[in-house]
This record gives sequence, structure tokens and C-alpha cells, in this order.
Amino acid sequence: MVISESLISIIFRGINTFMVVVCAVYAFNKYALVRIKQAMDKKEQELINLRLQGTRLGLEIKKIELQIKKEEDNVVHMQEKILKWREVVDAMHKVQIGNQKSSLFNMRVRQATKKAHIHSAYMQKQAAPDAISQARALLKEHFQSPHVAQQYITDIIVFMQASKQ
Amino acid sequence: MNFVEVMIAKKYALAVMAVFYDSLSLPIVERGASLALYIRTHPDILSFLQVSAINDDEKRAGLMSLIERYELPNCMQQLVDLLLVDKRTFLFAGILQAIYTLYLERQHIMSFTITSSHLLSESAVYSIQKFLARNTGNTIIYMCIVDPTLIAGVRLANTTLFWEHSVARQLRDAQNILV
Repeated sequence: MVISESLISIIFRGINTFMVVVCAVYAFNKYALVRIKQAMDKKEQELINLRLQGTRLGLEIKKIELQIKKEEDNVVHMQEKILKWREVVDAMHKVQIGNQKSSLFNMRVRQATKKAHIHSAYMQKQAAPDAISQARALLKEHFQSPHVAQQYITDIIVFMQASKQ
Repeated sequence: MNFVEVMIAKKYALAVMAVFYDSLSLPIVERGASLALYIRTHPDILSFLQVSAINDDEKRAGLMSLIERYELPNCMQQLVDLLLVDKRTFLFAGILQAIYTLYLERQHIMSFTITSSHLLSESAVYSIQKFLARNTGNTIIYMCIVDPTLIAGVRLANTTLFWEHSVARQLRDAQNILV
């Protein structure tokens, strides 16, 4: 009897426990599980979103890195171009300076030549003929005296006598 | 006279020299040169000799009168006859001039014109003659001219040689240098 009572009590206890557990599971399923599932779904969604965002950001970073590399390449290219441009500018500047010096020299030469021509023309047209005619007049006057002229001729004759073949 | 005529005249002159050299003398060739100058300075005589329509006898008579006036020897008459035959009487003056030049060359004589600013004394002319003879190695005959444009000095010149020492020349040189 005792054994049956205890068995029955154990069974009932088991049944009670089972019932409690069923009730608890029911209550859990009915009230907490949905919320938990919703919270988990939300978290999962947030996680997916974060992953997507991470992927997008990674892509953007890669894109930006590519752009930075491209920009850096551009900078190097531009620097090379600037160097070349500077070289060309320097060369042109040197040529320009050379041309300026050359044109300045040519201008000076032209000026000097023109001055010489003017001087020569003056000498030819005026100064030299004037000087020659003045000298001729002076010499004519000087040798007008027969004595002076004869002396001049005598000197020539003496030279002739002194000269050898 | 052009170059060809001068060359032909020289050939006639050489022929005269070869044949009649002994009958020539310095005064004769000088008179011949004077006659040549006279003919050249009178173009009407040259025209007279060049016109073929004029009778040869008239040309001969004209040339003979000139030869007589300048007291040239008979060989010149023979030359005229030859030129009449060859129809080259217009070369007569050139031939006389060539004879003069050739005779002087053969005799080693050089003719000079001595130009001076003032009249030269005899001793001065003699010194000049000696100077020229010494430098050319030839006998010198000369003609003196006074030219005041020299201002002072002497000029000695012939057809090939020129020597001048005068104030005019110095002025000329100065002018050439300056102008």
C-alpha cells in the first residue's frame, strides 16, 4: 500500500511537474518566445545590416584607395609634366636671353656700322675734300715762291743723283 | 685704230725696219712720229685716206706732199705705194708711229716726257736724264713740259713707265687714302 501510494504520488508528482513544465513551456511559447524571436530577428537584421554596411564601407574604402592611388599617379604624372614644362620654360628662357643678347649685340654692331658709315660719308663728302683742298691751297701758297719750289725740285734731283739702280 | 689695225700697222713697220733700217735715223723717225700725230689730230686726212671713191693718185699726191713737208726719206714713198696697192693708206699714221717705237727699241732709246712744276735748269734736266738712263739701261730722249698743277715737283713718264715726285701726287695719294 505504501508503495502504491508513493508510486501514485510519484506519478502525480511527475504529472504535476509535467503539467507545470507544459504550462511553463506554453506560457514561454505564448508570451516570451515571440518577443525573443522578434528581438533575435531584429538583432540578426541589424547584424546583416551592419555586415552589409561593412561590406559597402570596405568597397568604398577600396574605391577610395584606388582613387587615392590614381590621384597619386596623377600627382606623379603632373610633377613629371611640371618638371618637363620647367625644363622647356628654362630652355626657352635661355634661348630668349640668348636672342636678346644677340639682338642687342646686333643692334650695337648696326649702330657702330652706321656710325662708321656716317663718319666715312662725312669724311668722303665733306671733311676729306675740304682738308685736301685746304692743304692744296696752303701748299700752292707755300710753293708760290720760286725759291721754295726750286729748292723742292733740287732736293728731288739730289735724291735722283744719290739713288742707285 | 683698233687692235687689229695696230697689229697690221706693226707688221708693215717691221717690214720697213727690215728693209730700210740703214736709211732711218732718230730725227727721221721723230719727224715720222710728228707726221703721225698731225694725221691723227686731223680727222679729215684720215677720212680722205679711208674713202675708196677717191682716186689713188690723189691719195698718193696728198701723202707725198706730207712726206716732203716732214722731210721723210724715199723709203716712205715706197711704203705709200705699197699701201695704195693694198688699199690700206689709212694705216700710214699707225705705221709711222710703230716705226718710231720699233726704232727706239732697236736703238735702246727711250722717250720720256719730263713734266715739272717750274722750269728746270739744264743741269737738273741732265741729272734727270742720267737718272732715267741708269734705271732703264737705255739712252734717253726727252721732251720738257712745265705744268703748274704739279704745284712743286717732277713727273717722268712715257708709254710704259711712270715716275712722279710732286706735291700734287702726295695730295692725290692722301685723297685716295681718305676718300
